[in-house]
Amino acid sequence: MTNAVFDKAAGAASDARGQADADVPAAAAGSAPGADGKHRPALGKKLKIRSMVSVAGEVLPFFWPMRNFIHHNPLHGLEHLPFEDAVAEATRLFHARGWLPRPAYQRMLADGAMQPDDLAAEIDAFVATWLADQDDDGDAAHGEVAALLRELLLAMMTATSQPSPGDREPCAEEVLACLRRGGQG
Amino acid sequence: MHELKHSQLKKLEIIVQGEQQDFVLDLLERAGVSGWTVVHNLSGKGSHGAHDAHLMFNEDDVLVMIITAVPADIAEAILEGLTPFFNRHMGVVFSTDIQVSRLAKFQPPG
Amino acid sequence: MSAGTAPLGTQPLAEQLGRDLTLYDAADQLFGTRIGETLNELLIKGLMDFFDEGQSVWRMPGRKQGLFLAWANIARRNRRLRMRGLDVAAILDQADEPEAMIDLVMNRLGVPEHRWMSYVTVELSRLHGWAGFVRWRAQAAHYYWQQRNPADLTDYLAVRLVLGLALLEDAGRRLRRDLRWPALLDFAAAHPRECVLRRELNAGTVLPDFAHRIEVALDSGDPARIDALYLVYEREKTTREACTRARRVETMAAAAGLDREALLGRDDDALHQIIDGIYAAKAHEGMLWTRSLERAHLRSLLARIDAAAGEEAGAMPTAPASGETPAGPAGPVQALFCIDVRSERLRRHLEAVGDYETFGIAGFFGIPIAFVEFGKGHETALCPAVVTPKNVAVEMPHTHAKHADSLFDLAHEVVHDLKNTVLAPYVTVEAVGLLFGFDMVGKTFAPRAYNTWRQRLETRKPPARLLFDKLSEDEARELVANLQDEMVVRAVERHFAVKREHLTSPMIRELRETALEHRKGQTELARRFGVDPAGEAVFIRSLQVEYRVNPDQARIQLEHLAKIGFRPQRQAQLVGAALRGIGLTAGFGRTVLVVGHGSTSENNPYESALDCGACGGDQGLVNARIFAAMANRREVRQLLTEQGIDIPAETHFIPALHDTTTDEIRLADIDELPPTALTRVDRIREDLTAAGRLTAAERCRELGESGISSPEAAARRVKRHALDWTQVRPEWGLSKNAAFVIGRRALTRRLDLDGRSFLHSYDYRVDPKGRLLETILTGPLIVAQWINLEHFFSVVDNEAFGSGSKVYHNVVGRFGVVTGNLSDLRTGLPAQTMLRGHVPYHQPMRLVTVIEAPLALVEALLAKLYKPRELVHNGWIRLVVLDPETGQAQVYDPEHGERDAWQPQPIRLPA
Repeated sequence: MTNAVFDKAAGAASDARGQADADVPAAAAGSAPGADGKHRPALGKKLKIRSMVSVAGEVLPFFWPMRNFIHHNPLHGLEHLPFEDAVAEATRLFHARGWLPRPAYQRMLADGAMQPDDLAAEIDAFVATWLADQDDDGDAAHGEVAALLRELLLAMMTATSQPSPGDREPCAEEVLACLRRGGQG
Repeated sequence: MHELKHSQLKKLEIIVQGEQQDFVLDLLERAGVSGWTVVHNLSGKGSHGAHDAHLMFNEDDVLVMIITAVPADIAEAILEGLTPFFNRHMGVVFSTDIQVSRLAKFQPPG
Repeated sequence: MSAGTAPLGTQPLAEQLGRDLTLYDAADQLFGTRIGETLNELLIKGLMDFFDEGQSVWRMPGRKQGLFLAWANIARRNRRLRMRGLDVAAILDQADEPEAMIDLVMNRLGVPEHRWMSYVTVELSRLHGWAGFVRWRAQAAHYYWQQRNPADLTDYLAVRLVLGLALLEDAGRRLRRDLRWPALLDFAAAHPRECVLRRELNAGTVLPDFAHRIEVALDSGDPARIDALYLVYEREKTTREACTRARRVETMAAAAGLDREALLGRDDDALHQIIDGIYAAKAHEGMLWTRSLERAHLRSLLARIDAAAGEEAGAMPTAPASGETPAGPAGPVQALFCIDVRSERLRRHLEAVGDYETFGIAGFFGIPIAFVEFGKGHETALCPAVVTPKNVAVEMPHTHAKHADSLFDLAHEVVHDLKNTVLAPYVTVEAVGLLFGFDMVGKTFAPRAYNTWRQRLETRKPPARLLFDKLSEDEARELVANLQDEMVVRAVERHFAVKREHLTSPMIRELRETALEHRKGQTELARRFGVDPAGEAVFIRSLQVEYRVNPDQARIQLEHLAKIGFRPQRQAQLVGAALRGIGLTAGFGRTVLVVGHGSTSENNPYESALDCGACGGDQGLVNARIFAAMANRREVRQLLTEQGIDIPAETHFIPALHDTTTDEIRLADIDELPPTALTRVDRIREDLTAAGRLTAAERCRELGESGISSPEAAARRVKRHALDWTQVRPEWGLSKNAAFVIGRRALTRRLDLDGRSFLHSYDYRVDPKGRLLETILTGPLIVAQWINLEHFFSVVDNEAFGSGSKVYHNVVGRFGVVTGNLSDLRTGLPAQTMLRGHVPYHQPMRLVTVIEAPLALVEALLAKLYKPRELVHNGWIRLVVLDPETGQAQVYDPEHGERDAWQPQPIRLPA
């Protein structure tokens, strides 16, 4: 009799079971200290740990010794994801930036590496997709909002600097102005 | 004098992508498995489930199959060891009860 | 806002624990400890000691047992660790296997088992350079140092966890808190507001005017007081942030030319949606810029291809197809270059100075080899990293035998001539034995002795011949036997002070056979020189162990000798495939240049990075020489004719090396040419020099060099840079790479691609089944993609993904660099390659990949090939197919979903 083990469906089920045992620390089942007092888990457990480490490590890019340096994609372990998702995951994992700061791109724009039309086209496409994903209120409202949003985004990207994280330097005057505006926006 | 002895074993057929072969063989080695066979360049087609995660194979991918026969308890340990691996990677293990007939030294009684 | 949500931008600790944070990270954030930093320091010290490859004077003992055990042995006795109050020994005493230790520590920390996988991922991501090195080594089974001192990620994690546990428990004792998983989760659940305040404080994101108040409140330990302060703080921070953002929206509006009334005249819903939209766009901003760069580049490239095709159609009524140019009196010269972006400039200039037809092909010319360079004690794989070479090529110096035709003859000479070679005083037993016992990729000699020897060799290598023909089994056996005999002679001399003259051949053979266990009994040597049985046994043992005359070694040597070289059929197959792949199957000129590339620069640990990526990081000349030699062979040409590729007898392939730092091209193996060819060669040399100078002038502009009045001056300037060891940027390398064009040269011949494009020659008309394109997509394309993304991430975050400034680099262990004394192993490319000062030089964009072929063919291949498909569908490269049958450029946009992914636009293409 043949059993198919590790069909994906079965895998998903055992995952959920694991979730249910949420905050119970793993019992040291089948791994009583040996005669020499050393901790000796069962073979299956040891293999499972080794396997787990290997799989967890797949996100790490290989490092070749310098003698044989070759270029490689540092996000090679994430190529199964769409590019933008992979960058988000890698930046989270490695505490890194995935894109240049805005001024660097603005400089490239000024140097002619891209034209304002190129950027505008990308912004237009983004706004259209994004609005389409929102609740459908009404096309008239959409049209106005879309136009305004496009202009603001183009201005934001081309004419303003990027706030660095932790950039908070409000002065009293502005706080007051904010309150006078009634809080919104 | 030799006679045929029959032992009850489990046959494991482990199908994985070619690039994962070394990992699986290393695992078998650490489980103390005495021997295995590798069949190369299989092609497979998978059931197209509703969700990508349930695909067994990617269409026309090149796969390998690793075959080994081990006692039941080792088989258990190997399957446990492969669990984290198969949670991430495509593939399948077929596990079958088999009998292996081998010539072994005849043990006279007493 | 309620206290249960995350009002201040930080996610709840409970969610982040085990997913973004380890336990000691949480402790550091909550209580201001510095466990993470200390852990890294202690770990790095241990790793540097373990992985040293002969650089340091002290050698860690016991490394053969593997990373975990060797480290554990040292750590147990490490007084410094005990002084810090860390009882590492007590932990280490409880388990002697890494898996057991991991199990133990994770249980002791109280981490629930279903969270182990993600917890481990976080741990491994901390020093991703070192961890990546361990990961590489674990699968580099043939790497000498890995065989000697094995290490894998399980070992590495076990060491990390032990250190982490010791540090955590020590901190817990000092703080008088339980820092394990259940306790920290309880703390976070019971005191959520306190957690937020603590994290703000320790992360340095706290509002400065609140810092002191928060410290005092936390010290008081009074929950009511802390809660009250939290509410005030939360309200304040939220308000300030809101105002900041409000200001920014107004700034944007002003920049867009809108006044405030126009903006605020909208209703709340609309403004709300606009603010949401702005947030959404900010999250997506990097991608928007990147797509803009790609769009611009693609637009420009397609427009120029279109224009060039239009011009060509207008200028020449019948443009000859590539590869079929009619041969003039001197005929065209064909030149094969690597696809590397740096070839583009040179190809353009060469085509302009004379009648040259250039082609692009992966730099290993389709011939993957493991190369044993003369004087080096290891094999190097000369092929892309995705390919494993199965054949070995060996280099032997000319001085040994000018007329020896085969490896067999030459090896004979080397073995017998050991006394008389310049190497003789320095050749150790190991060195010679290893010559025939080499392993695939990376094995080195006993490094210290070997390195001393190497340094004493003359700096200029003697001219050497490449040998790549197969040995017959008899030849191989005889070679091994000869080597063994030579070992016997040396052993006898050393052990018994009996010189070669006093030994007969039968005596030597007898000793050899005894060591190989083919015979037993007293040997003639013992009889003749009065050696007692015990002494004789010791000697035989020494022969077997020290001098490697034993059955196992003999078998290994035979196996390795069998790997040397290619049979003629295989040679023809490889050459034929390469020529077909680039569409050069007819119309050969009298000279075909085969140009590999390399880079010369002193004091540059990244010298490898500047060399040929398609050759596994080593110089491309070897492959070029072998390719040319094969293509010049009569037997090979006969076999090629049978394949339909007719190379005329007068055609000669000449290998060359393009130095990308100086743009000089040096022809090689000229002595193999017939004298009649020499005038032609002189002309070619002149053209190459001229083209090289023009290329240097272009590059000088990019390098920002001033005062360059002529191409000659440019050539001199770049040469100076190459030799100047203080020069941190001898060339830009592959920086600014942007595109990969797979198609006929006709497509790009009139274009100035500014050294930013990989170019692979490909003629779809001779590839109806797509087999040649398949090779390109699964090989060179992957290499180019790796290069492109290495540059992408090294420029967007040079500190995390790149290696920072070369100025602060210190070589560690002879295999990598760290910044300062102790840091993560640096990965990626240095700042000097990516930036000009602080301004990025490389433009981060995905590789714009252009394929000239029918769309149906490309789609069929993508359906069949896993990796190229994944790269295209997930947007790791930007693909555009120029379909000659429909006259459409089909741009693939992964953001458009599967059905509308291909976006066509008309384009003119060369005939």
